[in-house]
Amino acid sequence: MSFGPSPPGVALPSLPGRVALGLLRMVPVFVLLVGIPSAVLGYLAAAGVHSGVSLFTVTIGGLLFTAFSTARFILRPTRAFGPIGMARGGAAFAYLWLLVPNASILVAAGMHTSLLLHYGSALEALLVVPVLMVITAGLVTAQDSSNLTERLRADFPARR
Amino acid sequence: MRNRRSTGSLLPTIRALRVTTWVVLIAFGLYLGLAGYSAVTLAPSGTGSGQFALLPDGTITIVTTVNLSNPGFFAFTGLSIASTIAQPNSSVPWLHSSSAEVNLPAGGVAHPTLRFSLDISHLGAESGLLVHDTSLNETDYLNGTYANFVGFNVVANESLAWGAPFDGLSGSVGGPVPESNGTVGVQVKISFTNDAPFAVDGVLQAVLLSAGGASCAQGNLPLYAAPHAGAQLTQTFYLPSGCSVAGGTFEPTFISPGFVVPLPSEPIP
Repeated sequence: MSFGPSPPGVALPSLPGRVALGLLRMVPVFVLLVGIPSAVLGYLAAAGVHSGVSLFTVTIGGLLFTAFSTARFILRPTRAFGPIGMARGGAAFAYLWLLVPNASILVAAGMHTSLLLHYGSALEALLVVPVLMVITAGLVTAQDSSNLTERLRADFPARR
Repeated sequence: MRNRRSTGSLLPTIRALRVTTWVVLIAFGLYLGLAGYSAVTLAPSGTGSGQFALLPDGTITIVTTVNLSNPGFFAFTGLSIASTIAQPNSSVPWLHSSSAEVNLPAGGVAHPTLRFSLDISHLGAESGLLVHDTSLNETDYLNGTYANFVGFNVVANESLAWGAPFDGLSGSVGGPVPESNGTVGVQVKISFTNDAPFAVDGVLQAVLLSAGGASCAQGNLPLYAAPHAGAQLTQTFYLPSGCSVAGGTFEPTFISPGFVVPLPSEPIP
């Protein structure tokens, strides 16, 4: 099974192969976006450091982004690649935006000293990344709506 | 044909945007990672020392200059220090001071200054601080931004030893000695320790009241007490006939050329 007949100069992968590869790729993405942040939060909590961001938020946000990322990978040879990329960028933007108000860490050093760190400004600056994602995906959508083959030739070139 | 040419031109833009996104993401990660590594080296770099002084207008000033150094790779901006002092067993701020905002560049130093002022002429209910050493509650606040993106608030509570300038002030009255003019002479001994880090120089005015509250005698005792030194003043007061200070009260007032400080009354044993 494939995504359809390959246009000239394009070698489209099969759908099962793409799904299998996508699921394999999902593992490191999941570790990066859910496993590591959850482990860091757990480590901080065990060390008496209180984070304003909850484990629930990190897990849901990471799962959502992992799902979008995997769907985008699988659907890359289709016209849905652009829209799913826009959705992924939008989800990433919303996730970071929701984290900003709670982006703080409270460290208690002994009985008499405490340190409160706010990294909301860093997350706000990082919002430029999902914005770039959305713009890029928007251009891909525009490209695909008028000439999908052009992008497929670049993304999946046929071997000579 | 026209359509193909116009849409085909989007691919280089798309590629450029993808590369830009990755470059921004990686650069940002490296920046924050380096900032975090740099921040770990900062904790023990600030020290401060307090200077006490009694001004001619009766104001005690406590000036603390905090020496901050930044051995890290990134600047601190909007760095400010504030401090409050509360009475013993209280968390309500009594004295407050804050420094002007300073910026501390990477590898630089800054010396923000805190200045507390305490008018001892108008202490009111807090005048007990003049005659009793105590421990005050000091809370220090350090606020700022590091590496442009990470704001921080440090709150530190500590105990501030307060040395009273008239610690343990007390007056004792000797036995009455009848005088030929009909008055009764009593020897009054006043003692205290100046536990403040500044000298106390002036006159101690003492008023002896009877148990009923009537003023029996008044005298001025020249006074100089060096920092952390004891002082004992002795003077004979002459009481009018029929005026006994047994069970009465000793009312002291410290008078300096620029100010007058009422001190707490003490019972006469």
